[in-house]
Amino acid sequence: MNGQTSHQQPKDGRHDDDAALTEFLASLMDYTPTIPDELVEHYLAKSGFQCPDARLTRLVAVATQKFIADVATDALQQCKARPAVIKDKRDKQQKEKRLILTMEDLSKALREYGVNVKHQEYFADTPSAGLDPASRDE
Amino acid sequence: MALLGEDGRGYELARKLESQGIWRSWLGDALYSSFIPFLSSPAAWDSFMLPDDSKSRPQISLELRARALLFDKASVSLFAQPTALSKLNPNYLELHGDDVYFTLENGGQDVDQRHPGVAASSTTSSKGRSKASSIGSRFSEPDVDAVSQRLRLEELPETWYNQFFEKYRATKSYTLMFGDRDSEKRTPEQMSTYLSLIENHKRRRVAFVDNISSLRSNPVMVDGSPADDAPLFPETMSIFNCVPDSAVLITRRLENNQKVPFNGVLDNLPQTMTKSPVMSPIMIERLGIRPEYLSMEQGQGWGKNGSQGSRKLLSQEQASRISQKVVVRLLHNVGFESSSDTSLEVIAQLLSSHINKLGRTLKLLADSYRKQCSATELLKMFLQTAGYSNFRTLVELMKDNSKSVAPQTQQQGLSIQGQNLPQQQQPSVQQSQQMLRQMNPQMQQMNNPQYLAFQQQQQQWERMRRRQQHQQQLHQQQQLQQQQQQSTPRPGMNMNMSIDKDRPLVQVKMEAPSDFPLDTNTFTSMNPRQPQLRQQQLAAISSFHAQANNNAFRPMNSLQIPQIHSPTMSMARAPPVKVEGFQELMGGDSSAKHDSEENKLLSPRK
Repeated sequence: MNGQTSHQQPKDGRHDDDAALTEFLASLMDYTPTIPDELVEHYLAKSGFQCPDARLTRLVAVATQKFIADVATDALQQCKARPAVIKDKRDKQQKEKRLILTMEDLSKALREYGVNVKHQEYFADTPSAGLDPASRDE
Repeated sequence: MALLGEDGRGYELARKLESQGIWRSWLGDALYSSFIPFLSSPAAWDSFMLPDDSKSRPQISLELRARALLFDKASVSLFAQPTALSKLNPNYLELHGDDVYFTLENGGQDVDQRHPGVAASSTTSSKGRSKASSIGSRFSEPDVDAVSQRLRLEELPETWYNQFFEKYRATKSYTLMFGDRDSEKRTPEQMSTYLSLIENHKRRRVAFVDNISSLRSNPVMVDGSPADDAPLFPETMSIFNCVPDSAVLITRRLENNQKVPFNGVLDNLPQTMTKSPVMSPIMIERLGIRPEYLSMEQGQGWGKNGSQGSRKLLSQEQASRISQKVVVRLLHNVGFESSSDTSLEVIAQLLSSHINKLGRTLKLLADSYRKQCSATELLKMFLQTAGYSNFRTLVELMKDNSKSVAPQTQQQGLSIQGQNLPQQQQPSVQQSQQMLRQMNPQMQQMNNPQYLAFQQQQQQWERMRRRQQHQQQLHQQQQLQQQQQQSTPRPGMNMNMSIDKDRPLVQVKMEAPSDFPLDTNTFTSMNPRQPQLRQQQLAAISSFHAQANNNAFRPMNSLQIPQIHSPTMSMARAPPVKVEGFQELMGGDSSAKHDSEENKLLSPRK
């Protein structure tokens, strides 16, 4: 008895998951993602995947939208965390902090996702740049 | 084969061959005499043709030789339409030496002594029909000796083909082949002659004719020779000029070029039940009708556009442009005011790369586990790989976005205007752009004098929009008040909130009777500080949040702006989005930016 019930429960749970997934797929058709279907299909076809079902296209669109939104949110947090710069004393006001996405914030946000967009700190113009004078003479 | 009769014995065909005296030539006189009794009656023929273990070896050999000719002549029915025996061409039934291809290897020369046995095997092939007879090669005497030895063992004379070729070899035409070297030239004239020769030859040997007399009434004269049925050996007669009948090779083309419907494993995802309690009421409530896609066939209705190719195809440049626009919208939803060009490009590339990655994942899963897993299981695997095993987060994202998109679409034009406003020019406040929300390029064009020209053109447009928004504002006032109270109030903001609360209310009421309360000077006290106020408001306007609070504020802002600009005639139709940031303050946004802006807004009253 116990074995049967325990065996049935995972099946019921799986069935519920399938039903939830099916409903989620259906709800995708009610929601228009920010990323248009044509764009998603273009890039999916580029990677070799083609599916006539629009629900799958929208699922990919929503997943990508979430990913980009997460990255942008992290960048926004980085932007807000930076202290605002007081520009001019005459204004007697603190310059409002405008939320501008810069590469600095973006690179910090993307670092957590494994994407390295860090700018080079400097570029050497000679092979001996940055070396000790002693070794340079050699 | 139809020519062999219903029983397959071929008695009628054998009788027909006998009538033309072919059996005698084929079998030879010795064997013919022992063969002819079997043709006397069908029963005798059946006993002759029937395989029987009691038969002796010579009898079996005779039967095999008879079968060889019989089936060879009957095999034409395999390639042609089944017709009656009576329509057989008598010439076709005749024995022809050129039915068998004679290889000219080592013709007239010494034979390779090392492989006598190989040559003894059947190395000949017919020109168009399969031969059942075992015919040795013709080109070597030792081979012929081997064959003849074998035949002697079988107590049968040489086959007719052997005898024929022996005779032919002795003829003049065969010996001339090796002596005459002048004809070793390939010329168009000789090639065309060969083709006509072949054509006539085929016409003479056609198997079925409707009218035999018509065949004989067309004498063929080729090169002055009589139209007799002489054997035709292109390999000896025209070595260098024998060409195919047609320059175009006959190939079997695929007739079916139709699109084969190919269903991948993910093409038929499970559909929701039509009686779903979640879907039906929502769809009926929103649209009033049952959703179409629920009644369509699985996988076909939803994706029919893609399968039929009516989807718009994008080029690489178009895709990159669209992805940049999408990124702008996404950044706007998140809360950014503007972005640098480089960041925009980076995120656009990130978007495309991410979609590529998801596509690769899907393709890999579908290809690898197509047979083991169902579509639903593959989807779960995909979601887990992508990191969304619990797709509630996606559902929440959809809900949040749908809340922000619904009122935003109504206010789209006005909110876009807010983004374009410069900080220093008052007339530019009236500028409005009916484009998508592109923060970056618009912020760059803030000081562009071209926008001044748009003022008068868009005044009426703004008027129309404000009329539409007026009704929405009345509905959202109560929500606004509740949200203001629920927000985290700051010490300095309380007074402001109370004061600012009145503004939209008052403004809404005043606007009700007339379109634009130009005479109302409720806020004339703010006029001296208007330029400064406007600058601050412009900065605050473009700070959007993907929340319902902010969306509710926007219609309020639209009413406040005309009153603020009332003293100035040119400002009568100011764009409404100026005070969006002002409304956000009322909404109690807890960010430091709003705090500072609110302080700026309060400064005129102090």
